[in-house]
Amino acid sequence: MEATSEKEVHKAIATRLARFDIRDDVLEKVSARVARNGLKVGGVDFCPYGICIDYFCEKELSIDELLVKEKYRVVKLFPYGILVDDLFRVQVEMHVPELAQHGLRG
Amino acid sequence: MAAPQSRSGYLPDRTVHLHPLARCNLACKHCYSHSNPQASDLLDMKVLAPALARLRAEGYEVLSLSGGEPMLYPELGALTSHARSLGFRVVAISNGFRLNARFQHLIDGFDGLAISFDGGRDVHNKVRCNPRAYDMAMKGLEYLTGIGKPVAAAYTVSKESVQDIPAFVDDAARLGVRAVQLRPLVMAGRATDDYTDFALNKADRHRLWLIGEALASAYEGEIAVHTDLAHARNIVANRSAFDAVLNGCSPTLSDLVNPLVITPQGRMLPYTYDFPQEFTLGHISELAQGSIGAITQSAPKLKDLLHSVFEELEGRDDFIDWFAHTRDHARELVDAALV
Repeated sequence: MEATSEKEVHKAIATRLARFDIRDDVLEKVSARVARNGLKVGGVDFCPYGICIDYFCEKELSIDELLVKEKYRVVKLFPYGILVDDLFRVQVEMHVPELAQHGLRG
Repeated sequence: MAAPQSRSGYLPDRTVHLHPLARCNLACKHCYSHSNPQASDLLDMKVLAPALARLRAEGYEVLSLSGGEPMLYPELGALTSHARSLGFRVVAISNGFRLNARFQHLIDGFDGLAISFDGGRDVHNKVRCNPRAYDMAMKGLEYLTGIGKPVAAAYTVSKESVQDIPAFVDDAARLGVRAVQLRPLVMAGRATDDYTDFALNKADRHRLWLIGEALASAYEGEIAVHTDLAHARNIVANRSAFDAVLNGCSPTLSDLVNPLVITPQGRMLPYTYDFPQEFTLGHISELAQGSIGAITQSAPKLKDLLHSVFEELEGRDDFIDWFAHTRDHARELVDAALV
């Protein structure tokens, strides 16, 4: 069996969302979490576990807070370093079973 | 000409949204401008030509035509050629009926075009009250991509058109369309009478935002997918785009108002076609005579409005359509006699 491509996963999620297959309360929960920490959203991606958000952050960030308080599944931090001092890209992975399930099933 | 110092508001370009006529070959159920085949309001080039020169000098860069159907404007060739000679980038949004070889001479006057859609074939034709509307719009897309003209699709998202979005984006990508703009249905004009059941609620806007992000990821590098929604926190975080108004310093009109909307009756309004009359920026004929007094007099009202909108948004945690939201907030202030 061929592996599902990223494009197919994204299209499948869009289709499920468009058919109102994903409940309003799940959408509210995801949207609230996307915005909760007040960071600038740089991009959104979907993965087999749910949803990944890219944030941009110009301040010192507490990884512990994201891992413990926000309970993100994975947190990756990319300092821009010499390109832009004090700018960080933070990628977090949220476990949203409802989105993951729909994405994989297509 | 005064050179724009920085971004003005949330649009990437300083834009005049001109409705040169009210007439349209269609009479859509949700039309914000009540356009129809019998509508007769029209702006003459004698008024438009000097007004556009003044607006260009005030820093506006893009002339975006709507209507009515802009391809029906009797002086369209003269209008686009005059605007381009002034240095405007000229674009339009059309229903696609006249975007074919017969009107190539008029199409040539545009730097880019967008065709409006209201859903897949069934929903689109129902909303447009015309069984040929969808096919004509798709033929328009096909024609424009075929001749290499930059073209986008502006897709109005209602409760009944949400489900068609993924298939539509797929078709648009296949045709070589550059972008699909997903625009939440605006409750204005005829929509407030005939289309109220199909407005998006808060959960629908969240759904739409995620659909847009998923499709933008899926089609990255093929077609741009943009959703006209922003999170309230991001809007507040970027309020510096309105510094010229908020700080009471406005060296040019385009610093103060972007987009500037001009109706087929010649009224100038901030942001949307149906902005409350209390915020009217005067009549285009005043611009033609060289006066910008009415606009500068309205600056304090806009400043108060924006302060009030940003204050209200600080307490919100959802995705909103900035222009429609600002219009609604302005109405609330008017109703509460605060303007």
